[in-house]
Amino acid sequence: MRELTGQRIATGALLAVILMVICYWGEADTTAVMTTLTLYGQTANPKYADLSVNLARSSVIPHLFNYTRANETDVIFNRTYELSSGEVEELREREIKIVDVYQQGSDVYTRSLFDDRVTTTDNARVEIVTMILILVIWIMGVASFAGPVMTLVSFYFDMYY
Amino acid sequence: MSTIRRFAAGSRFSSWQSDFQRQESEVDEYQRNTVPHSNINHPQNNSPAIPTIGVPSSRDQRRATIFNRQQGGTRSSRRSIGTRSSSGHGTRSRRRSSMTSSGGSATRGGDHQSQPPIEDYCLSLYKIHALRHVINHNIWKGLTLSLILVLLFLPPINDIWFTKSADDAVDGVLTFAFILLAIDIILRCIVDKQYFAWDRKGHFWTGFQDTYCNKRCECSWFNVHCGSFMFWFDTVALLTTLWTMEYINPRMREPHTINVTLDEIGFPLNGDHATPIQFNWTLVLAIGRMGLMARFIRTSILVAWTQDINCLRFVSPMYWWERINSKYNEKKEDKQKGRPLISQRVLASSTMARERNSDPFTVSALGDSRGDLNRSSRRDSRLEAFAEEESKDLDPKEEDKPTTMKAFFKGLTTKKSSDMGSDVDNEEPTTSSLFGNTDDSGSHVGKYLIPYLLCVHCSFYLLASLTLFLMVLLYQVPL
Repeated sequence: MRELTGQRIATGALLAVILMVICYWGEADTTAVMTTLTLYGQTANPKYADLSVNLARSSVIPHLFNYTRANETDVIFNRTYELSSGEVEELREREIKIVDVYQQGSDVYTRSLFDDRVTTTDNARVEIVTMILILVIWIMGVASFAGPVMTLVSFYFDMYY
Repeated sequence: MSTIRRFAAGSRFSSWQSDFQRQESEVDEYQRNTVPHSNINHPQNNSPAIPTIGVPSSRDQRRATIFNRQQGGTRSSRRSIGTRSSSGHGTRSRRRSSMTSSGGSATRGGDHQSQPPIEDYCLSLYKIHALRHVINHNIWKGLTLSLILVLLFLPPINDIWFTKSADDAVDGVLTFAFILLAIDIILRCIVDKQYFAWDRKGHFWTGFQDTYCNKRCECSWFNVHCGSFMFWFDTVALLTTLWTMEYINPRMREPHTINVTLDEIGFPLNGDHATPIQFNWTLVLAIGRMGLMARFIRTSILVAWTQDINCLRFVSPMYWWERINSKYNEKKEDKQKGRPLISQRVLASSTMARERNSDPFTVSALGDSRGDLNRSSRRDSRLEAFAEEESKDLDPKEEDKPTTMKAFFKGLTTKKSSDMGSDVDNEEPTTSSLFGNTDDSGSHVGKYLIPYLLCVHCSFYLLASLTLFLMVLLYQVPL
């Protein structure tokens, strides 16, 4: 009985945490996307293109390290920045976020490359903390619920049978 | 029960080879002399009992007899309540064989007249026992535990601290761990019919009876009850680890790409950015990976451990508040009244009570060693006066029956160290009454909710600062 109690506690703990994640409402960060949309219009003018991108990177999108405006044949505008930590070659593929903006009726598009390492690292930290949390919940649940079962039921079995 | 398990374990590890040889000869003799295997499990069959490895001793038989007399059930039905399905040693598997044999009518609560059948393994008994010996060995257990920890924590550690050049090595380690744990699961499926068996019917992995399946489900190729709780936990959790391998998961090899399309006027159409709600599938899979730890979180060990140290009370801030507050108040009162400290009074009263109680082998006498440590305090006449005063309040009947079940369970469920109620007055609610193990179930629910509260407080999410930063950008853009 105590093992069944432990199994159900384990199932319940995992389901509870999974449901907690599923039912969690988190607003996505669309700063990079919306800023890129703004830059798509601002960089259409070559006079303000470089200034607009510089201002955007210095204010709202500090993780931008490459911005390219091009059409099907030529590169119209290209700006590359150095990363604040490390080199671009050290970034994993999953640590790069690309935002492409297209417009209907036009062959001009823009591509922005972002260093998404901060988000990846923070997600990994959350992952570790969540797993430790599950272990704690699991152990506490077993101790709290299976403990009385073991004391009141299994103890008699051990004593008399 | 623990004695029986130790006996079974000892017989398994010490003399499993000689037992195997003896049993193999007996099995051969039995197969020559008796009916075909498919009829063995049938209740009407009166085939002779087959001695199994880890042969039930006289004590085991006596236990079964007692249980049958009082519960009216079978040994298998009783053990189906409190046994763990993960370990695949021979004795336990043999005991449960009435449920897992190839006969379609095998159930846990079967007729107690049925004989223990022979399980049908795909390998010889020698190989089965050798494999059981391997997977139950401490080295193998330690190896699997370390590999499980690697599978759980190495991918996030790689993301946090390792560089890109270490990805290949990490993938290699993860692959090795995955293969070894898959082998472990396969071995357990081979040697433990209770862990996995295609003809395992009648019970969900939660332990409930599936009467519908007993009557209707005859499909042998799709049996929803084939795996036990541990099997499904191990398998599903192990499969989720594939997501963390870079050469399997395509999303780990590619950058996160967002495509936004504008209409001809310049307004964005619906796209990825238009969905404000995000869902973290990676975190869900990470939670699913924790199912691998199920085999190492043993309920019996955990309960025994937590019962001894009663550690759950330290989680509650009310415990610390009560502890600090009661200490402070008692010392303050004692100083004001000029009385000795309440711990000294308790020591003296316990010593006096022990003197009145002539039987030295009572629970209270054995459990209270503070009188021995402070025997010199009895000479203090002032303390003795207080002790007499307090001992008068005690009911002599209650004092004379410390060996009753109530007192015994109270002794079991309370902490026996010196920090438990030593400086707390009996008239006030003590920490044991507030945060005990079995007294108040509501306190356990409260403790159980504390991690959820911590989880909510520690939740990570990005702040949507789009509006603010866009205004900053528009302010700086020259007209």
